[in-house]
Amino acid sequence: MGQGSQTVAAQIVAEELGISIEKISLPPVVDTTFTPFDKTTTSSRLTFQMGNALILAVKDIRAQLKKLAAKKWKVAEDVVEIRSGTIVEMAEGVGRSIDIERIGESGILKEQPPIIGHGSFSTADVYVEPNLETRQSSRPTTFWIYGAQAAEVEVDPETGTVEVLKVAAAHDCGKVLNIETCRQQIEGAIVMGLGHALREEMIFDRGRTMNANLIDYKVPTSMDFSSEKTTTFVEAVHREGPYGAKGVGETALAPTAAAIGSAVSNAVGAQFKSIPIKPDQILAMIEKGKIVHDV
Amino acid sequence: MENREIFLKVNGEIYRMSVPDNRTLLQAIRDDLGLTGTKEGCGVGECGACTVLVDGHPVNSCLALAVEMDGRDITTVEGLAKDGVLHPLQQAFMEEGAVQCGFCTPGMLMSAQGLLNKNPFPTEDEIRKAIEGNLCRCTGYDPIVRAVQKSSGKR
Repeated sequence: MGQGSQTVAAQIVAEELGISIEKISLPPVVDTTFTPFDKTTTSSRLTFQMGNALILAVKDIRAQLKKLAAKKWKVAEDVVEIRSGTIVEMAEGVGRSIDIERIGESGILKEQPPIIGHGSFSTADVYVEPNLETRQSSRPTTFWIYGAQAAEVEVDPETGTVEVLKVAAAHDCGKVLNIETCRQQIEGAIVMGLGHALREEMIFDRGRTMNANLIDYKVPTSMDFSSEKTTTFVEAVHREGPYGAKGVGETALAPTAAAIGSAVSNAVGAQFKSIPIKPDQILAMIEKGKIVHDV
Repeated sequence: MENREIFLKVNGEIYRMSVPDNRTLLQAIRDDLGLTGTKEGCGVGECGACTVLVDGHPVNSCLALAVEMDGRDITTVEGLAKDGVLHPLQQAFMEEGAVQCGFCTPGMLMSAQGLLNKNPFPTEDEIRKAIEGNLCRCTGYDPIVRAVQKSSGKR
């Protein structure tokens, strides 16, 4: 749904097969009528789980390709290897070879059953249930994603309005498989976080949501935050992730409101303990502390 | 309610339609003409996902009645690309990473085109103002602004 999971899937398959990404096609529709089952796309784990499943599926495909080439060349399977997208015969002198991108021309698929690769991956077996008494576990979750964000804000002491000048984000997503889509996740999350910190509030009255519309529940618009945003990737490679990748989506959002809240608290000289932080609350806090700020 | 006969000109083609008075332009575009590029985000004119151009001006099609648009010149997102060639705005959106889930995108493109129709070289502030009524939750708006800047002055 736009987070780049299909792009990453294509990248991984292309990389594992050693072929160009343009040669990979994805189903136009993902439909549980015919796609394999996944628990959920949650915990920012799609790249990790699906990526590892894809690597296994392509491993299966490579094994089938080697078998077919060996059959065609009438050699033992153990003298056939796949290197950089080419199936090669390891022989003295010049061995035969087939480029996977041109496999249709090679004849090895002719009248053979179609090549279908299977791979599946789950982390159920790596999870260690926390001890009931100590609550400790050596592996309570598949992986942790780390991040830190900092913000620079300007508070107008007359109006209580906050301008967010800059947000800097540093995230450890493991190995970044696609810098562009990863950065997009973080930048989008920053603006959502600014909304949480300074704008968004669900107002209830006796169990009813009073502002269930997009005028009164204030999602940031293009006018709200033209702050400078910088993103730094700290790539701590995870030994079990596909190429060392972990995930990014949810943790990109986690620090933002806290960073903004801390910055506003720092500017005003008093600690805010809830979000959103609205102008009237800022003015009240300034009034309470009778703090005079230099411009 | 009885139906009324109208002629809607959409992306240069004239469609003869028979619609009830309370059919919105959005419903007519999506359900009657099958042009599903225009999206219904909220249905009450608050999100901008349904933005189309009417005589070159951006309009929330969920708030317009089809019968009001009889004889007007309507452009939807399907009208941007010509003969399979992407409009410079669409090309720029792709290059700048301005599309994630894509739901706001048609509305963004139409608001942007509406701006560029009047002001081919807008400033960043003018671009942000022009898309102020188009909500996006995925991108944080910066790539969209950059995409409009990139395609200003083209076509």
